[in-house]
Parts: sequence; structure tokens; C-alpha cells
Amino acid sequence: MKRIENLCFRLKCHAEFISASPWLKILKQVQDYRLVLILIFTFLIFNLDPRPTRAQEMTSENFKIQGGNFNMTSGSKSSTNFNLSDVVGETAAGVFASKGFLIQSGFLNVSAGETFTFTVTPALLDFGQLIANNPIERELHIGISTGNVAGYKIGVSENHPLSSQTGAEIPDTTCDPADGGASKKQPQPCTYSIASKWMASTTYGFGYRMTGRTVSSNFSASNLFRPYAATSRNEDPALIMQSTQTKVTDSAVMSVKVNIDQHQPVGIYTNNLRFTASVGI
Amino acid sequence: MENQKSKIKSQNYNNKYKLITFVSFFLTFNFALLTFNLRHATAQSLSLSISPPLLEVFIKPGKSITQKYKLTNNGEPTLISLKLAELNEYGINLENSSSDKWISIIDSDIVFNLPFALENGQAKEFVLKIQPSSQLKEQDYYRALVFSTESSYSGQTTASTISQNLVSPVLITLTSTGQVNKAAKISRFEIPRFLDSFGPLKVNIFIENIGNIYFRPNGDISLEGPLAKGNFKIEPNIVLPETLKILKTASSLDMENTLNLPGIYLGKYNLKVGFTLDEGNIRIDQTRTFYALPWKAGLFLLFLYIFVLILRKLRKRKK
Repeated sequence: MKRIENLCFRLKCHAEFISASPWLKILKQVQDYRLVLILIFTFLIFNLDPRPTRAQEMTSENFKIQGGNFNMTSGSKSSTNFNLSDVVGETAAGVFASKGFLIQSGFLNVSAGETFTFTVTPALLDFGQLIANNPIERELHIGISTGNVAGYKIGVSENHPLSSQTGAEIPDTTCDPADGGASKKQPQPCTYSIASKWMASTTYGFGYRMTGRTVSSNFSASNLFRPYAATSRNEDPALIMQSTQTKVTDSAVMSVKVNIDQHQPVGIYTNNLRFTASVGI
Repeated sequence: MENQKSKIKSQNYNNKYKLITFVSFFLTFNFALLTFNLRHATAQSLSLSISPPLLEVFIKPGKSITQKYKLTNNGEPTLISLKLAELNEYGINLENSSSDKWISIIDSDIVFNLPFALENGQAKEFVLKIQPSSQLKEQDYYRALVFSTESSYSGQTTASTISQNLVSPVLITLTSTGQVNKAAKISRFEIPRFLDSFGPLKVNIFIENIGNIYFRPNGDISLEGPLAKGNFKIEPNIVLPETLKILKTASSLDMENTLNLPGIYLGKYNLKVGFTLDEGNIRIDQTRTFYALPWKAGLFLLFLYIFVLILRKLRKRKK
């Protein structure tokens, strides 16, 4: 209390403030609020901002450890006609890590040590209660990171169209129908590999569109949709994203749309969307 | 009276002081919390990582090798099953899982086709053993490890569950001598003979693998001319046997062309493509020449000239 009063005196506070302030009541217990602020700030910086540890290249005046492999013998040899990379003596290949060490051992594999990551968010698309002629769109975020491997491909398929336990189905969209020749450019029905316009609220079904840097050129406009390829119809997954470049981190958004008519039987409709990601072969 | 005034003054001062202290404390805390605590969003997502993403093996029949894999789940807890599938240029065929007994998993509780649980942030390591028997036919074997998540739904609304397959190809070349038939040819070289000066230059180069082992093209494409020069590294994408693949470079703005170069061109240009099959000594080179002329602008000027000429003649006749 005395220290608080001293502190307050230095800060020219009033005596009544000391006794009335709820803040200072707390400070009475912890003695010095400046110390509290410093502690909170330091705690936040050191505990909530852990950066990844970065390894250093091992070099000295005489040596530079540069080998891609750690074996009995390994390295790259070349002559005018040949390039040879050899590894002798290791039984198990892979990247073995322990505290302070990282060993890439075994036969030479250019992709060893690289990580391929694929993310889809969220893990469930909930369309809620469907209302006739009221299209619902939900978004899926897709992310991919390849490491030092050339390219990737992502495909998608559904197990079957949205169906209820009684066997009723919400059909996969075929997109907006032709308008009977009113416009010069007749819309084509969309398929799992060809996108087409789906704007009318009287067009029913289930389909998707994509936006992103590496998505299929099929989705050049915002209202171009495709139905999903269905494994129940023996259709192969449709390609939605691809790249041929190395060290890429890409993302895309898939907008999934469902629209039903007034004759659609009431029920809980479900299906499964499966995304397949692979390095570029 | 003066005492009261000073009391009111000091009360006002104290209120201000209290407010400033509170606001600065509040701002510091929130700033620090929101700025230094940016974590990856992990809720409600599927996120798998595999290392290595690709395995390439050159092996003698009767020998064996092992490769360590690490699978990490950065998303929500999920059931995962590992399958060994056959792979071709169109992708994997999960319906026909590979039944190769000479590819197996050792030193792990993971078994092919049996699901296992992986919590958020958890990683699982296993060793893949490849042991082709000496009776196995010497050729390329393309397989893939497929990690499939499983999903279920018991909600009361219409929904789509999401699953993912993460594919890690395994490319095996089985040879007892090391002598393999690696060969390729440029089967199509699509380039305009005459290009409009205002571009863009679109080039498509297709290569065909005519050998019986896969390869990666390793080289570049160079463009030389009076107004434009450039060197474009070919992306080292795998070309499987008996497949035709378009060469890609970093300048392939879309996924359809080998080169798509907007710009202004004039005169004679040489486009040279040169690459080796992997890092070997089999080299393929081809050069094409094209001419860039402002023919669209030229045609426009010609039509304009003819139009003016006709107009003048008509005026003369009227006079």
C-alpha cells in the first residue's frame, strides 16, 4: 500500500483516487502495475509468437557440408559423356530427425525431404434446410503446397448425387437450358468436364464452380458451373486444379450450389465429395 | 471553495488518467494477442502432408530397398486408410488396387487397406519395402500410395461430407543390367510461320516417349530475334512411356501452351528447343524460324489507301 501511495505520489494522483480506484485495488496485490504491463507484454511476445527454428548451413573456412546423402560413399560424378549420382552403404532411406540433427540417408531420391500438403476446409458442407427455388451456395477452400517437386493435379468426384434414405435424389445440374433460339449463343448443357452458365433460379440441381489461379480454364466466368463426376456412374474424377511448376503454394475456392424445385420430396439429402491430389505425373 | 475546485479538478484528472490507463492496457493486450498469435486455422478442415511425395527407384531383380515415409495430419482427427494403387498417365485406379506382394510396409502398425486413426497434429512414420523377385519381368512398374480419409455424417440437414485422397507415386524401374531404352521425339512443333508484330507468340511443343522408361525433359527453349530475346526453362515434368505430353515452361501463362509471350515482334526469329532425357547424354534439339510482320496493320493501311484512292477517283469523275 505504501509503495502504491509512493508510486501514486510520483504520478501526482489524488489520495481519493487511490482508495476509490478498482484498478489500484488490484495493484495493491501485485505492487507495481508497470511490472505487470511489462510481464504481460513479454509473456505475449515470447509465448504467443513462436517462430520456427531455422537450420544453418554447415560451413567453415575449410569445409562445406553439402552432400545430399550421408552414407559410406555418395556424390555426383561427371565426365564429358556421363553424369553419375551414387550412394553406397545405407539400408533404409528417408529423413531421420532427432534433437539437433537431420539426416537424409539411403539411396538418392530427388524428392526426399520434400513435403506435399493438401488441405480442404471445411470438412463438411451443410446446406441446411432446402427451400424450393431458393439456390444455396457454400464455399470450400482448397490449398496445396508441393515442395521441390514439379507440378500437381487435383481432381474431384462425388460418390453419387445428393440422395435421401428413401432413395429420392437431387439431380446433378445440367446448367441453364437453351432459350429456344432467343439469343444467338445457345448455352450448352454442362457436363462433369465442360462448364456452362447456371444463373436461372428455375434451373435445379447440384453443381460447383471454381475460382483461383490454377483452376481449370473451364471456369473463366463467375457463373459457369459443372456437375460432379460420380463414381456411381463410373466417371473418373474431374480435373479442377493443376500446375506444372515446382515449389508452388496455391489455393482456390470451390462454390457448391444446390437448388430444388417444389416437387422435390422432403428429406435429408447427403453425399460425399472426394478430392484427389497428386504430384504432377 | 478553492479546495473544492481543486478537488473537482483532480477528480477530472483522475478520471482521465483512469481512462487512458484502461484504453492503453486494453489496446496493448488486444494488439499483442491478435498480432503475435496468428495460428493456422485448423478447425473443421482436412489437411494431410506426406513426405516424400514421390519415390523413384532403379532396382535389380532379387534386391531390396526401403524408404521411410512420414504422414502428418494437420486437420481434424480422422480415419485414414492406405492403399497401393496402379498408376498411369490418367491417374490412379482405386477400384483395382495393386496386389503386388513385393511391395510391403515394415516397422509400422499401418497395414494396407486397414483404416487407422490420426489425431490433429499427429504424424505416423512407416517404411516401405520394395523387394522384386528375380522372376519378375524387367520393366517399369508405376504404383501409388494413396492415403484416403474417411467421413461420416449423422446430421439432420442436407449436407455433403468431404474426403481426400493424397497420392504419393512410386515409380520403379526393374533392370538387371542398367541398360534401359530411353528415347523420345518431338512429335509436334506448333509455331506460326508468320506472326503479327503485335503478338502474342503462342508455341506448342509436344514430346512423345517412345522408349520403355519414363524420363524428365531437362533443358530450355530460347528465342532470338531483333526485338526479343529470351530463355525459358522447361519444367521437368515426368513423361511416362507411350505418352504424348506438351512441354511446359514458367512462361506458360495458361495450362494450354508451351509459350505464350505477348509483346512486339519484327523481323526474323529463331526458336530453339533443346533438352536431355533426365541428366543423361540423350539430347534432342530442334529449331524453327518465323517472321514477324505488322501484316494486320499493313492490311488496314492498304485498305485505307485503296479506299482513299477510290474516293479521289470518284471525286475527279464528279468534277
